[in-house]
Amino acid sequence: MIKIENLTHIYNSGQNENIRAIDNLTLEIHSGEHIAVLGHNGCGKSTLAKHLNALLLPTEGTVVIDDVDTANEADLWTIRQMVGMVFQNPDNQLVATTVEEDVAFGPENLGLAPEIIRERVDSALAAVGMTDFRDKGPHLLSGGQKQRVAIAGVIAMRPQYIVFDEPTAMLDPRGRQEVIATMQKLNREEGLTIINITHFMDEAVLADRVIVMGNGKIILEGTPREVFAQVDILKEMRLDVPPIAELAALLHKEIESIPLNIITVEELVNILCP
Amino acid sequence: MSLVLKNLYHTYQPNTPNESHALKNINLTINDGDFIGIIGHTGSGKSTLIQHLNGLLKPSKGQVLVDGVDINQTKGVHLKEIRLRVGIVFQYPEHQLFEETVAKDIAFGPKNLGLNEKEIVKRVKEAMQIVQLDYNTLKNISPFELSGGQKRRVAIAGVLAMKPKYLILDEPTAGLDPKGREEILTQIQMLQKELKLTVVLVSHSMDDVARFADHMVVMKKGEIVLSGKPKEVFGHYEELEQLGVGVPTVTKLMRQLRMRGLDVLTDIITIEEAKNEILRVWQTGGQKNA
Amino acid sequence: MLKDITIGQYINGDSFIHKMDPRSKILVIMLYMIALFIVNNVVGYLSVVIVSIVIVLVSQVPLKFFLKGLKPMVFIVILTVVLQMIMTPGEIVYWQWGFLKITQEGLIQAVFLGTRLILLVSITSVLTLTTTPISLTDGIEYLLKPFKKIGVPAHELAMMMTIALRFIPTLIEETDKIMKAQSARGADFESGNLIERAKALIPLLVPLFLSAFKRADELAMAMEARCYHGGENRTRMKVLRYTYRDGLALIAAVLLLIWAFVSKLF
Repeated sequence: MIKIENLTHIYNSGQNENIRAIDNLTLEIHSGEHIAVLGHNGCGKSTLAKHLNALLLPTEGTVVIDDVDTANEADLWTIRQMVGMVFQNPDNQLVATTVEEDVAFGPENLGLAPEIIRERVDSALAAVGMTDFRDKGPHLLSGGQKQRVAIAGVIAMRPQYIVFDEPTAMLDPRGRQEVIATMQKLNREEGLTIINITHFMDEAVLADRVIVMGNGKIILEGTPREVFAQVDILKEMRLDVPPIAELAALLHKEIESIPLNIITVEELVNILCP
Repeated sequence: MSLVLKNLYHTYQPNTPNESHALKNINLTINDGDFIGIIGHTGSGKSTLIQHLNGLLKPSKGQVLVDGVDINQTKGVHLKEIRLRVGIVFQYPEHQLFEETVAKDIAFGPKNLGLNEKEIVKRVKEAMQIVQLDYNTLKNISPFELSGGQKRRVAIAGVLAMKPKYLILDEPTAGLDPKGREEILTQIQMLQKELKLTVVLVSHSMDDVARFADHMVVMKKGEIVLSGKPKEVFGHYEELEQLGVGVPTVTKLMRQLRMRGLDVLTDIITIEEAKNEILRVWQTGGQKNA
Repeated sequence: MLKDITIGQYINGDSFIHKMDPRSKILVIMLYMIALFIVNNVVGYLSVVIVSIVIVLVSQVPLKFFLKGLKPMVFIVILTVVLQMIMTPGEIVYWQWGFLKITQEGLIQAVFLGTRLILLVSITSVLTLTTTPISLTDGIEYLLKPFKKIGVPAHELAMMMTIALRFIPTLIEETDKIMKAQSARGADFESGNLIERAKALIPLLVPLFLSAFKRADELAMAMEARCYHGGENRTRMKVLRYTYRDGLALIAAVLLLIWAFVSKLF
C-alpha cells in the first residue's frame, strides 16, 4: 500500500515566488488497484508521480511505500525497485542500443546474477509481447513498441507498483492501444498496482478509481462512473469528458429516465434499447 | 486556385534493397477554402504527402501543382515563393523555436521573405492576435519560458506570419492537455472561417477531424483508401475499424442502436447531432421493437 | 535522407571472428597494427597482405562492405600516395618536373604506404563489421578496467559510448525534422557565402541543442528511476568469456608480430 499523508511540494523557482505544486494532499493507494489521475498540465500530477519513487522528496508530509518512507535515504534503491516508472517520451527513457540490453539495464543496476537477469529479461519481454524485437535497435521501433520496451524494463525489476506518467501522450491510436492493453494485462494477470497519469478519458474509464487534480489538490475522487457523472464540474475545469458521459448528461436534461452515470457505449445502448 | 497532387509516387531509397514506397498513385485536389482532414496511422504516408505540398520532398513520379504551377518541373519556380503560399506546421512545432524573444521567433519567417521592418512588426502582431497571445506582454519574453500550449501557439504564429494561403497542420494537438487541445482546434477553425484560409489537418484523432473537416482522406500504406465528406467516410465503418483508425464514439453508438432496432440515422458524428437524433426517435416513439 | 546513415555497421554473422570475444579482437587488432607498422620490405608487406586476406575471408563478411568502408578514404589514400610518390628523393629517376620527380624509391614507398592505409582501414572494418557496438563498448570497458586505479573512468566512458550510440540515430532524425520545419519558414541552408551559411545554421543548432539537453535531463531521470547509480555493484547480463578461439587468435597475432620483426632481416 502507498500512503501519502499531507504531502506538500514547493518548487523553488529562482526569481519568481515559490510554486506550491502539491498542496497538503492525502491519498491511499491499495495493492492491486488501478488508478487514473487526471488534470491539466501544471496541476501537480507529474510532481505527485515523482514523489512515489523518491525522484522528489516531500517539502512537508510523508510518502510511505509498504512501510518504507521515501524520505529515508538508506532505502532509496529499495523504493525505486518497488515503484517502477514509465515516462511520457518513449525515446528519452531507453538507454541501450538493443531492446534486450535495455530491459536488462534495471536488473543490472540491482546487481543481480547474469542468469537471473537473463531470465527476467526474457519473461519481461514476453509479458509485453516484444520478444521478437530483442536484438533490434530502439530507433527502429514504433512509439508504442518503444513504450512497451520501457514497460518491460520496469517489470524486469519486479516492482509492486508502476507509475505511468502520461505514457500515451506522444503515441498514435495504435500505439496507445498497445500500451493500454499491456497496462491492463499487468494489472489483471500479474496483480501489479497501476497508477496511470493521463489526459485521455477513455483510459481513465478503465481504472478502478479516478482522481482529478487541480492546483495541487484532489478535486474529485471515485469510480469512473461517479467521477464522470460530474460532467459540469469537469467541463468547467475544461477537462475532457468521455463522449458517452457527455451525451448521457445532455439526454438526462431532456429525458428524466436516462441516468447520469453512464460511461460506455454498451451501457447507453442497453438503456435506450432495453 | 488549388493544390493538386497528380499520380504522385514517392519512393525512399530507390533501387536499393531498402526501397520502400511511401506514396503510391496519390490523386488529391484541395480547393480554396476547403478544410481537409487527412487520417492514417504512423507510416501511412501522410507526413510524406504533406511535405510534397511545399517542395520539401520531390516526387519520384507525378506532379504537384500549386495554383496551377508544377513546382518541381516548371523553370524559374522559387521554392521560397511556394513556401510563402503553402505553410506547414509540423508535429511538435515548438521544437523549432530558437530566438531570444517570442516576437523575434515569429518574425523569422517574414524576415526570410525579405519584408521590411514595419511590415514584419505588423505581421507579428497580427499572427499573435490570431493565436490569442498578447503582443505587448509577451513580445520580449523568451519563448522557452512559456507553457507547452503557448509555445505551440508561438510556433503556429511563426507560420501564420508568412501569410500562407494554404495552411497544413501535422498533428497540431499532439501531446497537449485537453484545454490546450481545445484552444488550438478552435483557433484553427477560426482561421478557416474568418481568414478564409485553406486548411489541411493531419491527425489521428477521428473526433477532431469529424468536427472540423468538410472533406476527409483516409490513408493506408501510402495510398488513399477512402475519400469524401466525413459522413460518407464514417459510413465505411468496417473498413475504418480494420484500418484501426476507428470512428467517432457517437457514430459507433448510433450503429449499435440501429442494430438493436432503434430507427436512428447512423451518419451522426457529433454529440449534439446524436442528442437530437436520439431525442427525435424517442419523442416519436420510433422504437421498432425488434 | 539523413536517416539512412547508420552508426555501427555490424553485419550479422556466425564466423570464427564473429564469435570471438571483443576484448581479444581489440587486442589482436592492436598487435596486427604494430606488425603493419614494423614491416618495411616486400616480404614483410606480402606476409601482412596474405594474413589480411585470410582474416577478411574468415570473417565471411561480403567484400562490398569493405569497399564501402574504403570509399570515403579513397581521396586521402590517393593524395598521400601521390605525395609520397613525387616527394621522395632517390637515385633512379623515372620522371622529373621542377623539384617534383618520380623515383624508384618513391614508387616503392608509395605502394607500401597505400597498402598500409588500405589494410589499416579494412582490418579495423573487420572489427566494426563483426562486433556489435554494444559488445565493442563492453570490450573497451573491460580492457580499461585495470587503468581505473590511475583514474581512467572505464565504466563512465563505456556508458557514454553506449548512450551516444543509442542517440545518434534519434538526433539525426531530429536534425532532419528541424531543418524541414525551418525550411518551411523560408530558411535557406544551401546558398550564400560561408558566413551566411554559418548564420543560417543557428535556427537549426539552437533547437537541436535545446532538445539534446532536454533529452539528457529526461534520460538521467529515467536512469535514476531504474536504480542506476554508477558502475559500483553493477552486474551485466552478458558476461564476456574467452574461448579457445581467442587463444588461437592471440597466438596467431603474436606469431605475426614476431614474423614482422624477422621479415626486416630479408
